[in-house]
Amino acid sequence: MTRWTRLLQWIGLAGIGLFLAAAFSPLPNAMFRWSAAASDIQTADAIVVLGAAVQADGTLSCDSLVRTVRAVTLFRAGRAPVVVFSGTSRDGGPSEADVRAELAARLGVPVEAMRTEPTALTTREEAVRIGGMLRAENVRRILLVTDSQHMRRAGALFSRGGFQVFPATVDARSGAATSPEARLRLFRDLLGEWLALGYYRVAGYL
Amino acid sequence: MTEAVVVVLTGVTTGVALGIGTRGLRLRPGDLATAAGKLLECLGLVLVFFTANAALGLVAILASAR
Repeated sequence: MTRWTRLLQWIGLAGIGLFLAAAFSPLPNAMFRWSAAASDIQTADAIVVLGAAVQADGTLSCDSLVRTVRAVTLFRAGRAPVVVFSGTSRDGGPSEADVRAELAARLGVPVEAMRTEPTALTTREEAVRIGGMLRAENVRRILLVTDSQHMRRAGALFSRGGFQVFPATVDARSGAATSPEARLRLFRDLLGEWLALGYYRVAGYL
Repeated sequence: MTEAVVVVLTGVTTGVALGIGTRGLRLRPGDLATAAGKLLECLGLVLVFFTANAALGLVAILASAR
């Protein structure tokens, strides 16, 4: 048996060990709690709601829906006079930003208090385009609405854009997953966000 | 409960497969260790290629973005 064969076997064994730990232990839940950003709700100039996903028929994803509701409750609590909804369209359907704005209007947010950004495809593009829009309105303090894992990357981008960022986290997924499927999904999502964070750092965006 | 079912199911099917292999197909139980070694080797190779693929993709995206 060569040294490389032995090394590959150890890597394979580590892979199986990681899979079993992710599926059958509280590891993903602990990782979720460890890397989750906390909320710091303050009065601000605007509420910025980052995009998640929308179906072609205009159905919002769970992430998108909870972020929208969170923004509406913050607005109705008088935390900021303006709400910015972000989110593109999918397969020619309505944009996520427009669907969210329509929902917010039905929940009592005045149309003149809402802004939309329906073109940004990435978090960085959202920070650049929404940042430009808000700077033109002399906005400096923002309540940023996104999930607790995405907040670290998104908050750093907006801070770098010159804003004072107050995190308003909201999660559609639980950090107390009980089934192997839910834990594996959580583990995959966490790895995806950590990979994105690493990519943004390497690319010099943060 | 789900975890227990999965573990029991895996144990039972593994035992049945071992029985079929050693009695039905007359394979030597000692060959199992060699097969497990090959399995780990293949899995390790998959992980190495996956990591290299992801790293190469990252570099390509970074290069094209600059």
